Amino acid sequence: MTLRDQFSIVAFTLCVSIAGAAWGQTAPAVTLSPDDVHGKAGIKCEGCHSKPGPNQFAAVGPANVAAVCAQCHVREADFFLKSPKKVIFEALQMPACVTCHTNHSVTRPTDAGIGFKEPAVCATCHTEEGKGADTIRALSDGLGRISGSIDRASQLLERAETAGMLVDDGHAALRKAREQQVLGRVAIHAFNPQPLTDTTATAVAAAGEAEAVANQALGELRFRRQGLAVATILILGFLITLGMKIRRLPPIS
Amino acid sequence: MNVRTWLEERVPLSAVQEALRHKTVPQHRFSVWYFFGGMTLFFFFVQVVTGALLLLYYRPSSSEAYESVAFIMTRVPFGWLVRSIHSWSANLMIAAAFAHLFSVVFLHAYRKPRELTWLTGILTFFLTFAFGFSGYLLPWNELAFFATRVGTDMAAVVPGIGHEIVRFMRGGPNVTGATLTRFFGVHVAILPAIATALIGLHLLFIQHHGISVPPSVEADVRKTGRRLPHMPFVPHFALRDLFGWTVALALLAGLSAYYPWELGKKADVFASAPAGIKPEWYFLWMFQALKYAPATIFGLSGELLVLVPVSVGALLLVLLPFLDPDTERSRRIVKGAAVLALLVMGFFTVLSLTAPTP
Repeated sequence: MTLRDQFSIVAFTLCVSIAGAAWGQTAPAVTLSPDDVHGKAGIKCEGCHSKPGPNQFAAVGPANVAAVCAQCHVREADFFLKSPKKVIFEALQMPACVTCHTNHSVTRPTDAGIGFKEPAVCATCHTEEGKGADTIRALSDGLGRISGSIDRASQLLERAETAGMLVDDGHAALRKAREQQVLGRVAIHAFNPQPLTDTTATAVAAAGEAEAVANQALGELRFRRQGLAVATILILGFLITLGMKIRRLPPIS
Repeated sequence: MNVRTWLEERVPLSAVQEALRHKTVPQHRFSVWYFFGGMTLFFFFVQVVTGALLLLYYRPSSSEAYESVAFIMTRVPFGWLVRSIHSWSANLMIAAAFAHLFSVVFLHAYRKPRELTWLTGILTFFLTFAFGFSGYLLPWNELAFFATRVGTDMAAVVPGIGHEIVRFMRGGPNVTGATLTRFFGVHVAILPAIATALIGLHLLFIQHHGISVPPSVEADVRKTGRRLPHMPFVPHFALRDLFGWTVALALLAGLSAYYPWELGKKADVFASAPAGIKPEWYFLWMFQALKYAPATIFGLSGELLVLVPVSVGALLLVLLPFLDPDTERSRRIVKGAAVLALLVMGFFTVLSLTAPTP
């Protein structure tokens, strides 16, 4: 943890205490985890606890969590609010987004968060045989397909580029695939495989396009080197002939 | 009437044939150095041919130059090869010109009556640097942009008219699209016209005076009383030259296929210079020496500490045949100065190559 991070946490805690004291009440001593993405991004207490009045820093109730997060995470909230999960969370009085992401120690989510094995958050409530397992499997597979195709294309593009080939078209296609990957990660908040399936198809196609550009460049590189080998053999043959001709010339007087 | 007779009536073919038949090249222990002149000429021809091909697609404006080079490298059939050969050949031409120049100095081939051969040669040598400098900007990439900015900035240290020279070179106060267009014109029209004339004269003088024999070889001949062997230019020397050119061609093809010339990032006139940026290898020694120069000295730019000795050295080099009285002692001095120059250039080049990148 850097000095700046530590300073942010101290400042944050002080902010909470002073604000609480100012309103004549005891504020809960909440500190953000050093790894919390919001803290790292410089978001202060008011970012989420924006309710005006003396109870500004009071805990956000389970029913309001999604609305608070939706202030910034509009597309995720849009999917979630239309999802079957919203109804279930409400019935169980579970705090929407916080259920999977926590509140004051939100780390950067990864694709491994979807699944049944550590560090998957789904495994907290779901088992491989239980209800929703198929959806989880479909979401995990979709994300895996996207990242697998991007990794493969990325490696090939790097190989071609290291060999001195220009693969700008490939990079453009890969950027498109990465944008779709972000959209796919957003789409999992629908808790329904369909939106992700559509995004996966676009992402995999874009990554495939990038891969094709890389393969074409590598094929071109092979062709160049084979061409060079042939040219070298021809040149070598010419040099040998020339050398023999020079040796056969009349001696220098 | 056959073609030959028809031509014979209009062109002195027989005279040329006769001259070639009688043209000879001295054969001795230093004869190998005679090939570097021809090698430089070969690379010049390669530059002319590949440059003409690149001209078919290149667009000399700041908004299109980079894209047109990228187009040449990715879309034009064998464009990558033509551009890589052009870039590699430029570097090899400068290397061959260096070897040719120093061999002429060490073998004292500039002596009377070859002063004009030397003058045309040394001016062509400086032109190769001008070719390199002006051509370097044309892809309009990051490296080219900052190298040109630093390179043209150097002229500002000339007292009194420095800034005017910089403005003239850049076509304005800064390196912009106007500089690119200007450099393009210089690179593809002005320099080739001057270089072709100078090379033509250089070859004419060589033809007229024949190839020089080093003083040490002349002394050996006088001592032993034996005649110095000479090889006929055609076919003996010409075939050996062709052998060297073919090796150079193979080297060019190999370098272009295995180490294609990079395109880099497009120049951004508002960006700051990337860390560790360096010029081409032949300017490295001066670049590194300038780093050690103080900011100011006696109220003048500290860069003068480097640029004045370099300019004086270049002037002495141009005037070498007129300054060297051609005595045993003067030859030793010239050799010593050439060795010193090589050591200084080599030392600063190594320093620059081994300097850590920030």
